[in-house]
Amino acid sequence: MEITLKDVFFSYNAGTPLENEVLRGLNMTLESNKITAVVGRTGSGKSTFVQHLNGLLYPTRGSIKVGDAWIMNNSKKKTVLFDKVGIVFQMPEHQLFEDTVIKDVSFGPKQLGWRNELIRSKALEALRLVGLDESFADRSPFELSGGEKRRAAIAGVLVMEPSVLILDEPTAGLDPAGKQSLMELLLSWREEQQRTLVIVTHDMDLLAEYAEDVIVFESGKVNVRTDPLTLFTKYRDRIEALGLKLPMALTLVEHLNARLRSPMVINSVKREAILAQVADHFLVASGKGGS
Amino acid sequence: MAISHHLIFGQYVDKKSIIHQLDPRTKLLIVMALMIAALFLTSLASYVMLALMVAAAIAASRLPASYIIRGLKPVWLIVIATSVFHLFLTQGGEALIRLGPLSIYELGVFKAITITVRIVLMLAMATLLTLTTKLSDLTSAIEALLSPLRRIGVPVQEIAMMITFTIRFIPILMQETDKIMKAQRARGVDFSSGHIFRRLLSFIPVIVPVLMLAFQKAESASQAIEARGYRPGMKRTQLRTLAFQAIDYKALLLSGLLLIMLIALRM
Repeated sequence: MEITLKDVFFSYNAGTPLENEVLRGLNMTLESNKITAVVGRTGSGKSTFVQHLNGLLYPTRGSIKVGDAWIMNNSKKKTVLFDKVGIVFQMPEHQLFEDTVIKDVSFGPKQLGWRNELIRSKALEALRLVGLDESFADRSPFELSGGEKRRAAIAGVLVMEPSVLILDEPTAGLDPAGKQSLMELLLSWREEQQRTLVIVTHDMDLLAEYAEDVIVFESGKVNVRTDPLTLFTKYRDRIEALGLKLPMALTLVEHLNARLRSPMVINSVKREAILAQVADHFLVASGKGGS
Repeated sequence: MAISHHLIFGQYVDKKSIIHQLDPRTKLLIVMALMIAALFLTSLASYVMLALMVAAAIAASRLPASYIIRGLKPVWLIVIATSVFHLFLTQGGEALIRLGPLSIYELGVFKAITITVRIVLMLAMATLLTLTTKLSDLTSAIEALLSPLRRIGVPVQEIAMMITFTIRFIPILMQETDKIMKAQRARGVDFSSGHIFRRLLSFIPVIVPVLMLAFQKAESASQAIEARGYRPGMKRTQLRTLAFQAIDYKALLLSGLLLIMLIALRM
């Protein structure tokens, strides 16, 4: 589902001494079927931005078009488009409240008024998708491990089958293996129906690995919008100034390049690709061939 | 819509003003004295005078008056309800209007107006106090003013600690509540429509997680202070000790004089 923003401004506490303008004139289109990463330093407006995409926040000025629905300041009823655009917040495990996992996952569909049999089958499907089998359904969400809680909470959003899924720091507090399996399940979710993923993150390795489109926020405005490769090559000198840093594999390449007579030119920012390229470079250099 | 957006009471707004500079004990003493005085006002002149004093204090604080008025918003309903009760239930003086069994008397009108003015003035003073005083200063002031009670075995420091924690946790829990409300709205909860029973029910998905978090946070906060050597009943020292300045004596003297005038005016 395509999302278009026109001149979007937003202030917290508008009209008080604590007024704080967070978004300052956003114009952009988020295309369908892309993984978009939203980055920028803390307080640059990225979390506020994503909360506008499903109507949790309404702009102080400007308009947002989500599919065929409008989100504008003068909208009569400020509804949340929760069935079209799902949001998974930081630490989603905090939102669990029901006495069983399946009840918690069924919560959204119930609000949508789905039939009971449909809710149960969809809830079980969502749980399977996040890697929790049927034995979890009737357990209390409070007795699960941290990672399982997070999966259950994500299932509670996926179950409504949104066409856009927004994730705010989805991997915060997870170990590397947990990170990878969470991202894999999101990718498989997305493959199925060609859906849009928007990920707010500070994790540059995550960005390099999975993003297809990057929006860099600075002081409530879009500073750079590009793909990861261009971001880390063409805009290399601005990375630190924007509060970002290089992904780990790229840092390795830079350190090597500082000592190499003929620097390597990378053509992908994905970790595996870079490591293969580094290996190739040294194999060729040592005369042992390579591809 | 954030809850914190509506609740002005309890938020500190940093500005450079005489009111901000005053010692918290001075402010607390004056506010308490004037609040008690507000309860005993009778004559019109005394009401006008107290209102002028509050207005002058607000002006001196350099906070926009609209901000204080917004702080009163959450209690308008209580104010209106109380004044309506007084309007209809007080009998005395001439009957102004008769509506079947109900009639409005002169005294009722007077009572309704005075009770409204009283509540508004008291709340304005309390709001001004919290808007211009840091929480940590306010609790030190409470502790300092209660300290004579220690002699008769009242655990003053523990009480002050509890007050600090309670007030300190209000914004934290409000933030968490906001976050969880957002997460649940994103799952389809509509907090603002439907009849009252439905609306109350819609808060269960918020109350349960917030309670869980509150317990977790209380647990970790108590571990954190114990790890840093806090033991109930032990003597504690303070990083910042309160000290009266010349301006505090002036302010106390001025308020004392005004208080005497208020007492004189109510005769």
